[in-house]
Amino acid sequence: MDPRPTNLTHKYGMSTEPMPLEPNISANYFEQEREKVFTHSWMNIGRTYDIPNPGDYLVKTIDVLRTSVLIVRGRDHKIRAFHNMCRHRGNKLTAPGIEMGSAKGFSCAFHGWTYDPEGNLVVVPDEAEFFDFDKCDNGLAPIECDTWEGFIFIAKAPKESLQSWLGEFYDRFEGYFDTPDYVRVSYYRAEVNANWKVVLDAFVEAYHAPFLHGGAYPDQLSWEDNRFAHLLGAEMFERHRVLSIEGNPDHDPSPIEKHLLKYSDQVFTLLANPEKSKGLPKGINPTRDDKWAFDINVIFPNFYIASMSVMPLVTYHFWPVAVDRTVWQTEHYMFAAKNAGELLAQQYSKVFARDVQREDLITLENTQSVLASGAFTTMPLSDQEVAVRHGYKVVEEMLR
Amino acid sequence: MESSNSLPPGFAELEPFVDQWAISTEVERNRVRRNSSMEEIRGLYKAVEPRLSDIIEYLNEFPLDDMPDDARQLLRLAMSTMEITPAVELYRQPDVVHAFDAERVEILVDDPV
Repeated sequence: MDPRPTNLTHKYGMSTEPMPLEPNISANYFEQEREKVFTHSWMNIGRTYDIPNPGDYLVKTIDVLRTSVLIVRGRDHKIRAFHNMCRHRGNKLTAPGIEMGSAKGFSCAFHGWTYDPEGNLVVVPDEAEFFDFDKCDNGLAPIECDTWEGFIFIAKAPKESLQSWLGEFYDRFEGYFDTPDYVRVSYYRAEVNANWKVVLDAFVEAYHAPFLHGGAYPDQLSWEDNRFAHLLGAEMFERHRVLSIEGNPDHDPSPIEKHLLKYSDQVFTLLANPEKSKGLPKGINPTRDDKWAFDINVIFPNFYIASMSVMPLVTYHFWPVAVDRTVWQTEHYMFAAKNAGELLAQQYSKVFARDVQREDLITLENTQSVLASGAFTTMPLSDQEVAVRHGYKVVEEMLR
Repeated sequence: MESSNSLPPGFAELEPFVDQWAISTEVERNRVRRNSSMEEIRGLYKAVEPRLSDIIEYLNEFPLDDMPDDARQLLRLAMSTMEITPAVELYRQPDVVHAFDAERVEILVDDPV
């Protein structure tokens, strides 16, 4: 009997009607998303391991919140987030292009106002010329910040704690991602002229794999036992969702793969690896199936963690910029290469993934450029695209 | 050419590929791949692929952060081979067949080797 789940759309109580295209082309809809979704959402901006020491900081532009965020580890080791904006006349405290660094404090280049790593204003040149002024009342504007599984999250105006926001995900991974042993080996980023949901949707179904990636994955994701890359598992939560993707256990390795597999077990193209699918936390390979290749854990609204049998952690972010503009970013984490053989296997894996991701990205602008044509106003979605449908449903409910 | 003896003993047949393919960063390796002909790309693949296990066993004797210059040149050739492998094994042309503009994808982690 085929163990793959069926009737998912009904199971999760969703309509099977075609979905409207309006949410991907309407500027008004985008403004509502900004106010009712992103303003209240917890969003990941990095790893705690990116800023291990006091004074280490990250800078992240978040267009949808119309701000830049400064995340700093204080001298008390606590991680805090602030709007990256001087209290005086609003200049950003970091130079253009700076995304991370380490500092004893933050000094505004405009008039020299200086803040300590905990966000307190400590220096105002010629302070006596200001009126009724107290430095204690003029620190940086804080943003809610919390951590989970080694990830730093921020929220502009949260209505609930990070733990409550994460809901079903909160205790699902049992610390699996919370380790400095996962080293970021790649970080790719592109600004794409498409709505953030169009971009996200391209990464939350496997239906496209035999077609868009038919050249890159000759037999790994679709083969005679699973021609259309049917899902191994799917769970739709209140806001978040999980998909499990199956890999061909009988993949025929290429000549280069055969060499690399002798020296490393982190070769990206060997998607199903039964030896690496066991003994994992309940949220990793939740189907407990030997053919497990990877899980897609979408943390609403714009963050996605993939755990793979061949790579412990892959992240995606989908940062809305405008109704038809999104910054897409992906990072791959692997165990540090101990020798040249492992380094070459990592590089092979990075290059392969990067090339496939460029295939994923090619449809997005092609799609967005005709969505408003009026030729069609809806899209029919298959049961295998249940996670695409679920994403629209969650947004729609928050806008109501 | 100054690179005439740049590779370790035993790998002299790879010497003709050093000038074009001994590259230290992914950004540059990808750019060279996209700007090379399939003849050049297949030339590297056909020379390195049969020796890749030998190359790895030779290089694995050295710490990654303390490799002699000739071994490092060999590692760079092997890293370029990882870059061009999809072109040979999958796409049968230098770049991905149907793909988003490579120049628009920022490569933000790229430790030189």
